[in-house]
Parts: sequence; C-alpha cells; structure tokens
Amino acid sequence: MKVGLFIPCYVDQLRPEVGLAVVRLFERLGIAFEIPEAQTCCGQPFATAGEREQADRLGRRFDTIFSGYDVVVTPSGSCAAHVRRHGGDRSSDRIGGRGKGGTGQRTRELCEFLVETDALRGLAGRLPRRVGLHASCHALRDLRQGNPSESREPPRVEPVRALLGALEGIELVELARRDECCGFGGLFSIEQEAVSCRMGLDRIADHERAGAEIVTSSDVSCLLQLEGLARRRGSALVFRHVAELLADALAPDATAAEAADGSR
Amino acid sequence: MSNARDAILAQLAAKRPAFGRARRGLPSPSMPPDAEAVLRARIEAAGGTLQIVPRAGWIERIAWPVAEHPAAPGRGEGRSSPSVYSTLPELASRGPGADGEDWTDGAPLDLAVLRGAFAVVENGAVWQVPRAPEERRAALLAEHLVLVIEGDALVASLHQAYERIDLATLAFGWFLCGPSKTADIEQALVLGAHGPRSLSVVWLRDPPMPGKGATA
Amino acid sequence: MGHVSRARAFVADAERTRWHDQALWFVRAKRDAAADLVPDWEALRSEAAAIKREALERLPELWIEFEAQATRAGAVVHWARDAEEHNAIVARLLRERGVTRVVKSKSMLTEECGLNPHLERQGIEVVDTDLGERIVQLRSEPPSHIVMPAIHLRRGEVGETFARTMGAPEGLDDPDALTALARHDLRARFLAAEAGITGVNFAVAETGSLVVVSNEGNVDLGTALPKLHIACVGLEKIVPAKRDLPVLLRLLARSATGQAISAYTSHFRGASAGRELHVVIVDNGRSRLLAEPDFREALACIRCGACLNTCPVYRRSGGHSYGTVIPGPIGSVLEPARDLVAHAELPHACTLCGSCAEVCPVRIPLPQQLLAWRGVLAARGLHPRRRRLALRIAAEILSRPTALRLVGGLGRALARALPESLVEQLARPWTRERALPPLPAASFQTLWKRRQATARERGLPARSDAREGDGDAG
Repeated sequence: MKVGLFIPCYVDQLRPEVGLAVVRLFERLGIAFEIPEAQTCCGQPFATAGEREQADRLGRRFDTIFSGYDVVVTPSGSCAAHVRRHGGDRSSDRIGGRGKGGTGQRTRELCEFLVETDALRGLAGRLPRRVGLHASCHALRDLRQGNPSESREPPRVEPVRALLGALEGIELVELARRDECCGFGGLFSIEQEAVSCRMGLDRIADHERAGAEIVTSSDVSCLLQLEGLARRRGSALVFRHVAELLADALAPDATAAEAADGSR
Repeated sequence: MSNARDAILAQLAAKRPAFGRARRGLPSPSMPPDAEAVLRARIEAAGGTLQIVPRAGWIERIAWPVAEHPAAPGRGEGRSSPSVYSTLPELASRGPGADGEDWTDGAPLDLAVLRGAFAVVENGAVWQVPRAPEERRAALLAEHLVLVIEGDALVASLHQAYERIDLATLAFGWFLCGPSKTADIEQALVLGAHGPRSLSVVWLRDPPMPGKGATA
Repeated sequence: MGHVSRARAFVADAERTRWHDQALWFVRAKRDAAADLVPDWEALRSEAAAIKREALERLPELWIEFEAQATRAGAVVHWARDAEEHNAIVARLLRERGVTRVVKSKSMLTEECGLNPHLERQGIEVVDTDLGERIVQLRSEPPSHIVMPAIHLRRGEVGETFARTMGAPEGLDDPDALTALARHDLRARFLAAEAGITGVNFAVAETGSLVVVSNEGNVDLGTALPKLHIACVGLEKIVPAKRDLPVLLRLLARSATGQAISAYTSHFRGASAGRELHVVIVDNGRSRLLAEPDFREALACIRCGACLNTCPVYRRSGGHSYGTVIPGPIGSVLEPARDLVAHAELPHACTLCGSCAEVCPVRIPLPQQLLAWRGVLAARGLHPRRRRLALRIAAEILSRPTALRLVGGLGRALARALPESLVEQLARPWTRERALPPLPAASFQTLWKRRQATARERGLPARSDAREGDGDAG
C-alpha cells in the first residue's frame, strides 16, 4: 500500500509540528509514506468561499499530485471531507475524483486511516491527562466519523475517541455540547468575526467547565481558532492536534506527560 | 391576462422536478406493553391528566378540575356552582348557555365535558369530533376541559389513528393534547394561553376481561 | 446594513446573546429528547422527505385534486400568483362582507405577503393572536423566529410593551401574569372578530382537507367564533393523501418544540351551514424556485424551525439579523431566491457545520444549498471586490509550491521581526479577540527536508522514499 501524506497548506505554514507529529507517528507505527513536495492546498477554502473555478484548479492539482498513491492521508477532517464529499465542482467527478478509484475515494482523515488499518494494535500509549475532544464538524457530519448529536442513526465508530480512549491514564471529559461548531468556518472567521468569536468562546467555556487540561481535535483550523481566543484571555488550556497527542503518547523515549506539556 | 389558476398550474407543469426519492413505507409502531403508563406520561408531559375509572358512577369517582362538583344537586342557579357544558347524558349542562344558547356572548364557562373518540398512546392526544359548532366553541372557551373516552379506546400511534379517521367525510375534527399553552415569553411554559387551562382525559374502563389486554 | 453588521450589534450585548443561545439550545435539547422516544426516527425522516418530494413532483395534479375536493365540500378556492394578488383576494373577501375586525393566527405566508399593512391601509383591523406574534405586533417588529416569534425578547421587555399598549402595571414581568393579560385582551377580540385568517400546515389533495396546528388554541378560536375562515396556503404545503399526515405530524412538533404533538391539530374540510371557508393558494415565487435544481428541495420545508434552533450562528446573531421574513438556515436558502443582491450576505452567515441538515425532518440539504448560493454569488460577481482579489491572489500562490514557500516564509519572518502590536494591527479583524498563533521559523516542508537530510548524514535509512527529499532544505 502506497501512502501519500497530505499536510495542508496552513498546517505547513502555521503548525508544522502537527505534520512532524504525523511523521513521528507513522515512523513509530512502521507505516511507509511519501510526502509529495508539490502539494499545497486541496482547494477547500475556495470551495467554501464559493469560488469554484479556483477550487477546481487546486483540486485538479491535488488529484494529479496524489494520483499515484493507494491512500492519501491527511491530519485534517475538513480537507479530507472536501476532497471526499464536495469536490470543487459539484457537476462532475473530476475534482478529487469522487468516482470509483478516484483520489476522493482514496483520501482518509488520519484517525480514520489509523482505525481502518488497525495501526495501533498492540501498542500501549500513555497520556495521564484530562482531555477535551473538540469534534471537527466536517469529520463528524461530512465524513460520518461517529454519530452527530442530532442524529439517531445506528452507532458508528468515532475514530478520534477510539484512538485516544485506548491510551492509558487519559480522561476524556464530558462536554455539555459535545459537537457544536467552534465558529471557524474559513472566511466566516474573518467576515463574521464577532459571531465567530462568540462561538469559539462558548466552546472554550464548555471545555473549561468540563475540567479539560488539553483540547484536541482532528482539525488544526478549529484549534487555531480556539487557541487564539483562549490565549488572548490567558486561559490555561493547551491545544494539541490528535496526531501530536498520539505521537507523544506512543513515543518510546519520552513520558507522555512531559511531551504533552512541552512548550512549542 | 390569463387567469391566475391556469398560469400557476402551467408554470408548475413546466418545471416539474424529478427527485427519484421513493417512499419505503414505515412499519406502524406497535402498541407498547405498558400502553397505559406511556399514555399517562405523554398526557402529563403535555400538561394534562389521565384518570382511569370504571364506567359505573364515574362522575362521582373522578377528580374534577372545578371547586364545586359539577353535578352537585340543586345548586345550578347560584354562581358558586360551576357553569357546565356537557355532551354526556349522565351529566347535565348548567349555568348561562345551558339551554343550547351559545357561549360566545362572553359568559364564563367553567367546564366543558365532551366525548372523545380515542387516545393516541405515543403522543397523548385525543381525537375528538364535535357534533355541533357550539361543542367546539365550548371546548375552547371553557376554563377546564374534560374529555371522556370509553372502553377499547387506545391506538398506538398516529398511523393507526388515521386509519380510524374518515377524512373524506369529515367537516371538522381535531387532536387535542393537554390544555392550551404557550412558551412565547422567554420559553416559560404557561398553561391556558387562549383556551382551557386544564385538560383531563377520563378513560372509562371496566376491569379487563381475563386474557385480553388493550389493543389497537 | 446586512447580516454581518446586525449580527455584530446583537453579539455586542453579551448577556442577551448568551440567553438567546441557551433558550434556543434548550429547545434543541427538547427536540433531541423527543427524537429519542421515536424508535424509527431516521426512517421517519426519510419517509417524510420522500413524501414531500413526491408532492413537489406532482404539484399540478395534487392541487387540481385538492381544488375539486375542497370545492365539493363547500370551500371556495382562490389562486394568487403573487403577494399582491393574495392580498387583493383577502381584502376583497373581507370588504364584500363588511368585515372590519379580523383575527389572524400565525402564518409565515401572510408575513411574506405583507398582508397586515395591506388590510390596515383599508381600515381593517388585523389582530395577530399567537402570543409571540401579538407581542411583536404591539412593538411594530417582525417576528424573529418562525415558531417562537418573540424569542429575542426578555420578559421585562414584554412587560414594558404590555404596559405601554395594554395598560399593564409597570414592572410586570411574570410570564403567567403577562400571558393572562394577553389572554383577557385577546379573548374580547376573538369574540368581536368577524373573520379569522389562518395559515395551513398541510393541505390534503385526496380529501380537500386542511390541517392546521397550534398550541395556544388561537387557530381554533379564530375559526370557531367568526363565520368567515380564510386559509392562506403556499403551493408547497400540499400532500397527496391522508396516509401522509401521520408521518409528517409525528415529526413536526417533535422537531419544532420537542412536543410529541401540538395541543391542537385541527382538520378542516369545506364549510358548514351558515359559514364560509375560503382557501387562497399562493405561488409568489414558489414555481420559480421549483425550476432551480440546486434549491428547489427547500420547498419541502414544513416550517418546524429546527434548523434555526440548532444553528450556532442563528442562536448567537438573533433572527432580526437576517433581515428577512424567514431567518436562519432555511431563510438563507429561500430568501436569496427572492432577491440575491439584497441577501448576498446570507449564504455566508454559516460555518457549514452541517447541524441544520441533521435536524431537518424532511432532509433538506441546507449546507449544500448554502454552498451552491455562494457559487452563484461568485459566478455573478456579487462578492466584494477585495474578497475576490484576495482569493485570486491566494489561488495563484497556492498553485505554485515555490511561491507558497516564498510568500509564507517571508510573511512569517516579517511577522516575527515586527513588533507584536503592529502585527496584530495588520492581522485584524482576526486579532480583535484572538491572539496570533506563535509563528514558526520554518515550514513543515523545510523541517521535513532537514530531518531527512540529518537522517542521511547519520547514515540512517530514511523510512520513506528519497524522492521527496531531493530538494534543498530552505
């Protein structure tokens, strides 16, 4: 199985440690991978902005770059959902190749991939921390990773919870609203800045009330939104991508506690 | 200028969509084994009450929502007696409007006692068909409403309820569930918005015969 | 002034925003609890979705059937192409009968048509009888929610309104007492009314019946007392047959308020002796929407308001921020169809979180529709120029890895070198309430290449293919 890793553009530029965490994690798990150098953006921000032409163009690039891989793995629920579900152009299957065997079908969000391939089998990780899980809307409602609180469908595996829940010592805190949006929403965070911030602050308050020490998510964009709001207010919450928590918890040479506390 | 009807129908015909989303059909919910408890819970959730009593002497057995007993003898004239509109032969109407006069003049009506057709277990509603226009008005203008259902009077869900209703010949009929209510001020529930402040469902049911439970 | 500025103004009142959010979340939670009690909830939604779509496929036949059945039962059926025709028909019916006092129950259609001002201009008094609608009518405001019209108001504000308009004692803010006052005031109006106007939840083609639901009993008082009942119904409200009613009614109240069923579910067919029932069937843009493949499923809407209650944006921006008759997700799909330029901000008043589609009892794909409107806005050049330019530049950069690395690297280096306050200034509005993330010195791609180079120097086998490590680390 040839695995291509897609580290989304904003992760590449703003939170490289998340990409490195995926690398550490894959190395630890013995998963061979490649990181095509030409990769940039899947087109999602343009699609959600309504600019289909630009989304299509970037979508086609993405498709070409990752055409040679059996699986494309990305530490981003929303990018994976875009490539898988929306495509840039709803009238065709060109983008992300939603058709049979297309890139869209072969793209996996990181946690989804780890659970599907049972990659952590036999490995014991440790993370003695109270962790708040921020559900990525796109991972949850587009990729159907778990059951949205609105839905009464038969239970589905929630990969993030399954992976973290298996770590020794971890306590996943109980939120009052377990899957409300953080308010990021791409350009929404700028154009509807006031509402966006109110939404994010409400999420932070929920995690704080629940006693979380670390807030984690499968989407860096949600974390950037929440972390920005929390830091401005001097909140003690720490924000980490799931890949970082897993890589640290499974690292053979570091105790998870140190790793989770490590300042960037 | 073509007329509106033909113009609209032509427009609709010209733009007919095709969604191709077929109905699958739903299995009608079956009667829960604890039908009585479920019905009671649903009625109470809607702010109403359920009283189950044997038929004989039921008027004396149930709790009435008015201070004075609506059938207390010889007190029909005084205002201390409740005014009553009743369609049940065993309980007489009394007070202003008792002689078939309308309640719409604003005379206070304390109590309406009406026959209901059956109750829906899954939501606590009672299907009621007024026999006369004043019956419907009484159901709305009374301070308190009592709906009397009898015997084998439960259906599991709205699906079975509509099987019992002949809509094609029905000029008016309604499901009534709990008293009139509103939560329009700060989501605070207030019973008695425009209609009755209380609704009591009285199920006249004689002790079950051996080997037969309530069925739809 | 658009949604953005009105929403900002609403959010500025943090206490009201918190309360509004929690009041609506409470309704959402009741909806969840109600859904829990229905074993086949998702199958029920699918069935309702299929019923409403079938109805949309068969609109002309169904309305012809309805008309024949309703007429046979003694109702009079009228057709209105637009709001103007609708208002004229209603006004004529009232005028011909010398009616000057009308009670009206909740009808989003008559709101959409602007019926009240039209009748008032002709000297006809129209009293909205739903308590929430009465409150906003007394305040000369539009409803802020399609099911809970006064959800934006606190009890004290209702008290002030009643003190000003109904002579209520100053400072009265108890919901029970306020409701009792309104009940007393409206009871007299019900008794004096000469006509009742209602909306319609479902028109049944098979039998010519109308189904109207309410909790307060106002629909029924308004139709049981006056001799004239005018029912105004949009083209999308038809269902084929009786057997469709249980499916839709089992979903409607549960989705709307978490009730298993509303207090009153009334079935009207024809007119009884000495009484009149008039049904006004209204198009007003619906047949046009039916021709839009990307948006026509919105005509399946049964107006439960669940998408409003669950929408994290609606809950924090208030119904009035939308500036439309129907606010929230469904409004943001329907209203741009009427006037895209006026409502160009609405498809963007959404994070695409998808919650609305999950609660919708008839499975309207609201997020996809909002996304589709964004595409239409872009195609018609209706996005702000600065936004279009910024995205075009961004797309150019992101199409070239070297450009991304160059621009990104320069940007980060600059941001790290400049004083923090200046950077925050430049990064507004992101930074108005958010701290900037600590910017890394190097991008992932750079760090990844370094890591591979180090591994090679140490003579360790690179885990991954060397092909990606060829470029020099920046």
